[in-house]
Amino acid sequence: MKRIGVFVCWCGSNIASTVDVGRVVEEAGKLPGVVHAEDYKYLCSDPGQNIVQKAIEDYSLDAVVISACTPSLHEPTFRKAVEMKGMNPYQCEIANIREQCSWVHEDKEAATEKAIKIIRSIVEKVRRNESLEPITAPLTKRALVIGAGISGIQAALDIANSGYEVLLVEKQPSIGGHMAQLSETFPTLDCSQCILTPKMVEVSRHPKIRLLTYSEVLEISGFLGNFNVKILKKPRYVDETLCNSCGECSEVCPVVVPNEFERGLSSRHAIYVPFPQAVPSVYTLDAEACLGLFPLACEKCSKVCETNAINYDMEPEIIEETVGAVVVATGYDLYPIDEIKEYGNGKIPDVIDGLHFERLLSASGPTEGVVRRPSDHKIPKEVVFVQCAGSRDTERGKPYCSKICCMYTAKHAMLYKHKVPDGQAYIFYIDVRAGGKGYEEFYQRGIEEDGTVYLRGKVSRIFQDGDKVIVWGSDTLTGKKIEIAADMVVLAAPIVPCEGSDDLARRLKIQTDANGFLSEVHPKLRPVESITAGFFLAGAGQAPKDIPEAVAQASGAASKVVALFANDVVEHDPMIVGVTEDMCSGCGVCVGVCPFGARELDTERKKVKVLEVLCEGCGACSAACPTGAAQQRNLNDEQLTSMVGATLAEALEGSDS
Amino acid sequence: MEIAYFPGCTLRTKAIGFDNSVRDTAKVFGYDLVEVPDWTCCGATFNLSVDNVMALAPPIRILANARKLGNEVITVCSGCYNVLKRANYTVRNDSEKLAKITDFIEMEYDGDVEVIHYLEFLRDRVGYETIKTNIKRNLEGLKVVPYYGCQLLRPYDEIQLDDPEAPTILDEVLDAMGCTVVDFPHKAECCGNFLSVCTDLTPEGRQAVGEEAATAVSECSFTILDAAARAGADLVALSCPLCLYNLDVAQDQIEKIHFGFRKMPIVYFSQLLAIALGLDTDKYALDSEHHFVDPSAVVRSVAKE
Amino acid sequence: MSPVRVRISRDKVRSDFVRLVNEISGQNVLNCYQCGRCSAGCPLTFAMDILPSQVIRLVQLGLEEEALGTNTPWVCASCMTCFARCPRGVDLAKVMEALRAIKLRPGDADRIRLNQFPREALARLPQQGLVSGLRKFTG
Repeated sequence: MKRIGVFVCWCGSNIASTVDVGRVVEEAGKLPGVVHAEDYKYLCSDPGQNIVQKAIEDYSLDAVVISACTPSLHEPTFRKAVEMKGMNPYQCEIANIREQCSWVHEDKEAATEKAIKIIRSIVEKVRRNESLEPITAPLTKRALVIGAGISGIQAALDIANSGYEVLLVEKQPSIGGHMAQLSETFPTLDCSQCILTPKMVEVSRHPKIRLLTYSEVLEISGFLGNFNVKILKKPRYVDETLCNSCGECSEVCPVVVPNEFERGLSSRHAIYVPFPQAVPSVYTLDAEACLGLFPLACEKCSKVCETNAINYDMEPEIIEETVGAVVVATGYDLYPIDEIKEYGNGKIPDVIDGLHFERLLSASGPTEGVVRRPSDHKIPKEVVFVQCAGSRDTERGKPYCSKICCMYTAKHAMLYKHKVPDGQAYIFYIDVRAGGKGYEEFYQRGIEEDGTVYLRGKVSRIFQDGDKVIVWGSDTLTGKKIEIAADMVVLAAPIVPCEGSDDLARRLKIQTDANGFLSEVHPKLRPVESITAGFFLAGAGQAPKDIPEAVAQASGAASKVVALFANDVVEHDPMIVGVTEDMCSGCGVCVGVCPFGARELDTERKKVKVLEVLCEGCGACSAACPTGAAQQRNLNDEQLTSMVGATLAEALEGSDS
Repeated sequence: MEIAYFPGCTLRTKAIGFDNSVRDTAKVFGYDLVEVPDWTCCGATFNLSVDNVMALAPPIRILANARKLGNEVITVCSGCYNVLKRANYTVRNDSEKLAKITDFIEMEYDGDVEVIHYLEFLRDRVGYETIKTNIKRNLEGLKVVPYYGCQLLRPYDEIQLDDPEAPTILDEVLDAMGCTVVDFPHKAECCGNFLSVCTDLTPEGRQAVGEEAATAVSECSFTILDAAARAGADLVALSCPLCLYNLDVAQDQIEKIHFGFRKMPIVYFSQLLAIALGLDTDKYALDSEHHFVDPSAVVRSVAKE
Repeated sequence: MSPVRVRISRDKVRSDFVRLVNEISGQNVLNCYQCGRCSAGCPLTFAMDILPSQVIRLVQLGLEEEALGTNTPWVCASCMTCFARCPRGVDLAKVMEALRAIKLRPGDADRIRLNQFPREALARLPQQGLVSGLRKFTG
């Protein structure tokens, strides 16, 4: 029989105040196989771990039960500690008597009884534990980065500069993301494009980065270290290697459509580059806007193209690649303001969103940096900014704080004042959240130096009256209802996950939260990892964040990828569900329920085969298996039955008598 | 075809023109509005104390009586519509309250009557096309602002008639009957509702409620009427007798305070519909006896042929 | 005269008054985060002593006398504009109704008496207005 040691942690008073630790030790010592039991105030401390290690030697232990907190906290700690003494780490188990016992009970006697039962059941389990070795698989040291905004760019550069290949995929014709649309950035007011474009150029010239623009990831299969990626490269009808971006095609194009990059404030042709510094510097023919490709209706562009770069027969291309890790940097969009009915339904031309205003401020924008309102191109003299225009609204908008609006609105008001010195900016706000380096100072500067008037109240209604836009707000500080006859209104609309990112998340089998943002494993300690192994998160696709945070998270994700690539193989938890072939009837039920595609039916042999590296040990198959052939390692049916038996021992005895 | 109809107190008295025009226009489209048997006042305003179950008894009793005629009831006064609809919503979502009320009124009811506003009926059952094909008088050029007020729209979760911020149903009905519909920003701003009771009090009564409350309705009404006038409207069309009273009567007071204010007649949308359908205009109380700002001149201007 | 300082304590913040307002209105006044949007859209603020958002603030703090002492609940026309736009789903009209109820329910606190209507006013007012007005202003 295995020689088992049981160690009971007080966790200070966390456990000891509700559970009689002494009695638990006494009872644990009587359990079958237990040759040693003792307690300690903080087992996770160095002295605590030493006690466990010393007992392994002193009592020649084969297995250890740590009765303490949840395994998600200290299981790795103790498994490492026993391993140092030559014990197989899978012979160490945690009995959770804190979260599942002491924290949720008050009656000390009953809690003590429960703690004993929990330990008894884990002892029964560990008696039957096998020694396991991690499963290893080869590792492809190439990364995929999805999305080439500032986060994707930063992650790609960091990984590539560490010497690994990167596949950078962007669905738009150019990289750069929303940062390319911004005018100047808070709190230092440096020009957004000026600080971004060097990075864009670096990406385009980097020998380790393969850039795929106008492309979308269709599908990812495989597992950590070995993902198979399918990418759709949409036809841009312009040969990237031939186009010298002279722009003559665009000049002759008769089609005029709203320019997305300028948020519809100006127009573009069907063949276009989104903005002058676009990377790659290549024209794209928007097939939907073009007068006709099938059959050809106009052909003006190809006639003027000196390099014969235009190819109307270009087909969509499917690119397949193998990568070891994926960084998802899909970014954000703004919630559409036409959904906010009380703010004019999107029908008042001079009510715009924050990105519109960035373009009006931008030197390269449609007004060349002169602030002119969309309706009549007049310079607005009274401008109202509305914060939380849909954010922090549990009823009709988004329940969360969009985080960046306080600062960009403060910046908008400041830049507006710099450009229109005789104009006045008003900001309606609920709370000003300026928690960042230099942010509070920046916000105060806007008030003190630029005279931005802050009004503490959420705007109720905005409507057109003649050539004015009437804003009904309040100033809760003075207790007054406020009306402003504005020339223009800028709404800080909620930051929402980029359009299509939920769809992509589903194809990638990675998780999103209730608001559609990508989910991290742990909000504090593992903020850049997706719950699915091998996927890392960067940028505003995970939660609203500003440029410094997005860049920091991107570098964090990149360092995770680089740390992974520093290994030669990937290790996978061996707690998988195997197949007992003798019992497998080949019904295939388990194949259907596996969410990871880890099980395959060998139709010839009528047996199920497990792709071990794909199995996450969720147990869905073992619950579904009608014959009991699908058994989870170290949590097999025999173990489960013995654990239930141990937990219910008293009740079972009672029923026998 | 017969359909249950709940006119409500005001329609049988002060708003008789509203009642007659609804019944007669429905008849043009082939519907007989049959009064709910043994009906009473609905309570006039939906009681907002959630612990007051008694206030739900009258509207639920009306609905239980309506059930005898079928599973839908048409009403047209926005106040009645709001009360019946919200009471119905409440009991549909609270079986305990429903049981208490049915026990009290000694009638059976399980929430299965649909409360339908006449505007809704015109939109969904009659259809705008049918309205258009029955037009006998041309109202084009009659500049009308649609005024929805509060009771028709809010709270949305319980009423669900139309978008509470950007409603269109009254616009559409007025458009279908051939009016020139004028857009204005205050379609759903409040006219002051029941605060008109504070206006007409004796001096000591006014003192008790406070001068602010006593003048509230005229201030609210001015906001609405001023915007309507600036939008170029000839008259306001609505579906609530209290809104009509407030917007109508307040104009005397407004005229004294706001220099240059132009008086504007207030009518029920169904009165205009009756004119458009070629019915006898004298039957619908479009006169100075029932309106403080006499609409008859405006009516005569369009009801020539 | 208002007091030199308004003292708040847990007895006030957790008072029966706050509980009663929540009970009659079916709302949790703590859901309100004081954005002031109700006040921004309220059509009747001009006739109110203090803004609607300030009334709910007084209730949040358990300041019973102050909350019941303003004319704001009596000027509220139950138009529901506040609730239609409240980002926290607080039905402020119901809170106002609760404050009126707390004053009216004990009896003998009617804000309006029938004998205060001149005869011609009674003849002129539509039933809908008279009934709803009396229901709002009398116990």
